Amino acid sequence: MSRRGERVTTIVEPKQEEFERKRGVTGISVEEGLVHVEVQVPPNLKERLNVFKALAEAGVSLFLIKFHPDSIHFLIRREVLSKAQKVLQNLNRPTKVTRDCVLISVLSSAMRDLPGVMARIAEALYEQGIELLETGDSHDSVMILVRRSDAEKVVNALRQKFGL
Amino acid sequence: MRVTVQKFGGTSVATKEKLFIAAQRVVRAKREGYAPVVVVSAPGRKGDPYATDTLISLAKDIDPQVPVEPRELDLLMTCGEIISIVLMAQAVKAMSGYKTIALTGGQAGIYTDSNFGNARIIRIDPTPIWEALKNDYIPVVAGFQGVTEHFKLGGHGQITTLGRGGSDTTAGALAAALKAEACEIYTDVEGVMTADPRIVGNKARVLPSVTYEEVSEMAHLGAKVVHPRCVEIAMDHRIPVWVRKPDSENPGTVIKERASDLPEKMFRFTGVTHLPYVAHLKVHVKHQDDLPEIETEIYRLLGEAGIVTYFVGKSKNLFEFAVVRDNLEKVQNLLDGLTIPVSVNRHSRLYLLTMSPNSVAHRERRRMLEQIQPKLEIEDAPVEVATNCAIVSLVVLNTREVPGIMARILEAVVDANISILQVADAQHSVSCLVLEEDMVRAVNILHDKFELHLGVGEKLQTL
Repeated sequence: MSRRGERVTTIVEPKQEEFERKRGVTGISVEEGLVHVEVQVPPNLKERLNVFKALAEAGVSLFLIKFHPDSIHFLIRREVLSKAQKVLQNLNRPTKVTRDCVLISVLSSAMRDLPGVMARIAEALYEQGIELLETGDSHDSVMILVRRSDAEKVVNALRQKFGL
Repeated sequence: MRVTVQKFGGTSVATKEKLFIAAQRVVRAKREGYAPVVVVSAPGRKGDPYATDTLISLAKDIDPQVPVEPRELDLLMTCGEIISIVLMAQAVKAMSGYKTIALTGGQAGIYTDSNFGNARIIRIDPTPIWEALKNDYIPVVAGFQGVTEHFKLGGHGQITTLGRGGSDTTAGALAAALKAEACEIYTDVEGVMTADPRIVGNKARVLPSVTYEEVSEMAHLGAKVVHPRCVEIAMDHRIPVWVRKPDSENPGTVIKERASDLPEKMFRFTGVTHLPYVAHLKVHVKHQDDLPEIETEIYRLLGEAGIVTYFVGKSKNLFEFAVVRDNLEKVQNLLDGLTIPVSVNRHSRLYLLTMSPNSVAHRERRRMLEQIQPKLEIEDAPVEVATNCAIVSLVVLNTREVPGIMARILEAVVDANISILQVADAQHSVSCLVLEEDMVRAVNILHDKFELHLGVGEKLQTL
């Protein structure tokens, strides 16, 4: 287990045993101290822009941003929560906040060449009856957001599912 | 010995004139005191006589109903590179009088697994290349190929191909095995650019230096300069990669730093990429509690069919994903008319997925189900499809360190009246799913908005 920066813990580190990296899922990392925010705002991009602008002006960094039909969702770091809440209150936007979230990343060097990873993740969570708050994906990871209380169970289920 | 690996793509060896321009680069490196190791691709581009796709079609045309064995296809596909190595070796010799030796992947010591068509390099025995270099030869190695260590039929030494990005991968791997000073990728553009010049014209600028992570992100998101597999090997073995044009005196782009080596608060707006031919699907589910079961089942089916999903996400009553458009028909065949039984909290329902809820076929299917299962609650799950989409991405070194990226992106698209269907962010990029008809405009406005035409991508910034 290793720590990258303050927040990200690599639970299973991808190994470089051979010349070229192994294909398939090779690691899991966990990032703590995150808050999931849901802001009710209609799909009109101008209205959404106002929310993003106000948060940017307050210096709040957002990630795992998702557009939903009647809301936008994103993650922020715990330390900027009160700042973000103040901004959103001023905008008069109904907001739902889920504290103590954990972002679990399933790592692979070529996720786009690996069909079925999302299926196995969804299966692992479903079997454990765990609520998936948000998902995201990139070329080298599939990210899932869960409550901190579920994190250990999720990591164990994923390790089992992917033989890590 | 100062080894440099020089890789030339298909266009660089397509004509005699271009071959001599490439050979000039090799000769120059030798005269500057380097020990060049050359890697070449098959001559020409898609459709040309010895290009990979042309060779494949020769075998497939014999009888399209009879599949060609992957082992045999690999044998055939490696012919183009073998032609190139002989021609390049000859060109260098003719131009300079230097001794050259043409080597296949196997002769160069590249050993792979036996996954024909997409083999992975297991090890490289650099002895043949070292021997050639010690005897003052310039080795010219065929890209995209290796040989097996073990194989059930015919023993070891079966010819394999490396799959996508093959020749770049050969170059990166040889550079790593030889602990080369550099891996030079010669291509038909001046270097890694802030955007595709065919989209943004002369506003595109060459980036003098980028990290391995940025160029890998760009390549995965649509930029076609250097293959991410080569970048990954170079990063793991700490080999600097240069991207250059053979007939240009400009220095091109160097890739030699890892993002993790840079101070934490540094960032850079690197470029804008585009990936057309994407379809976006949304599955609507009436009861929120039933979503996880339906989602799991659909992902299972897509996974079994070998379909990779992008932009995965979920809301209260829907979940969504994107697929490359080539896979859309397969997805439609899987999902349209699919029934998924759901049991949640002792409540059972049958969901009937449909891509055309008002069609006669759907109505009939539903009526039949109601007759067969009169006691079961049947719910429609409409699947909404946006067929013509594209992914436009802003590549940013350390996205998360920079507040306000999404605000700036939205500002630009709102002004240009472009719709965004969904967004996705990763450690080094923010991507927008847009309609394909808006793709070119979206690339241009983001390139302008982030002032990449003014050289913003050329320097690191600190928060």
